[in-house]
Amino acid sequence: MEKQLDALMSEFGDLGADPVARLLLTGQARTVDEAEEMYLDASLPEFFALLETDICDDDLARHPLTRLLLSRGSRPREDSIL
Amino acid sequence: MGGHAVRYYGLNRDTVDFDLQVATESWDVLDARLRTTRLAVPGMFVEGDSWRRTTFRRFQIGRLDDGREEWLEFWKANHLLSDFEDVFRRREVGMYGGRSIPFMSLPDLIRSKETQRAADWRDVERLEEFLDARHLARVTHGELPVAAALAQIRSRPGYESFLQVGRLKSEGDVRAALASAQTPMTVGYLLPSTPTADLPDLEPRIEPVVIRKLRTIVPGSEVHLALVEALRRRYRQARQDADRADKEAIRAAQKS
Repeated sequence: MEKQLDALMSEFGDLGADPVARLLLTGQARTVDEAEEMYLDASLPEFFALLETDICDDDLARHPLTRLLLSRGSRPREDSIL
Repeated sequence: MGGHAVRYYGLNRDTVDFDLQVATESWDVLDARLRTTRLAVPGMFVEGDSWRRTTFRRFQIGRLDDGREEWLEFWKANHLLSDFEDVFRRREVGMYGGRSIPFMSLPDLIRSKETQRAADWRDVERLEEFLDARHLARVTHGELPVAAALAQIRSRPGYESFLQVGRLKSEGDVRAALASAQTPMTVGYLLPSTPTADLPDLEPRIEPVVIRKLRTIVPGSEVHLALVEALRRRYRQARQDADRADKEAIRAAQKS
């Protein structure tokens, strides 16, 4: 099943390799919002594992998971309604 | 509580239900009490279905022009509510719809919204910002100790505001706040400012690797803020699981 899915996703090129797009293309998520939430929830162990590596803070700040956590988290002060 | 309380605290929210928590001794005489109000006219207070009638009852009080039904909904208890006496003691009284009305306190309201539903968590996100902003204003006016305010920080704009005005500079205040912090997000925000501080036991437990990182990270940096967001996500997952488990337990008890 996973191999069939990989074959199908390969037809979408780079898009098929994107985990968020993959959730949308396979129908596991109905919207980008839902797909990003699902992906982040499932990726927390990966994020914590990343902290165990020797990745430097600059690289960690640039990592896609870090960016997505920030963009989908509590908004910055300058964007707050207060 | 519910949507009207959310509106009272400043978040515009379309709602047609009126949710109230009532004292245990009022529960069994709810019908009789409702019949003594001036709203009691024939056809009013038709009781609706409830899958947990021993703790939640609802009565239709009308229908809007667009056809939606209006309901008066009563909670006796649920796993997200403290005892009525505690909630009532912490109430906030304010003007709403031209009347003075007692509302559940903002922290209690936030707690009551930690459910399975994604919509409730969107409310939580905004209400946390309101709570932090209120606390900072009270600190500024000398009405609340800094440590008490820091101990409840939950939002990024709240944290960044306290940081910007220098309210995290006192190690004593931050240590005291950490000792009584009640959420992983609060610990996440405060720990980098006092890296050697002892931490309270919290649920869900914070992963040791995250604690180690928080003890070395620059306060307010992007990695710091991302770590807190990871903790927030873990916290929400745990609360949603708890709410789901509570509902399943009630349904299972009803079947047996």
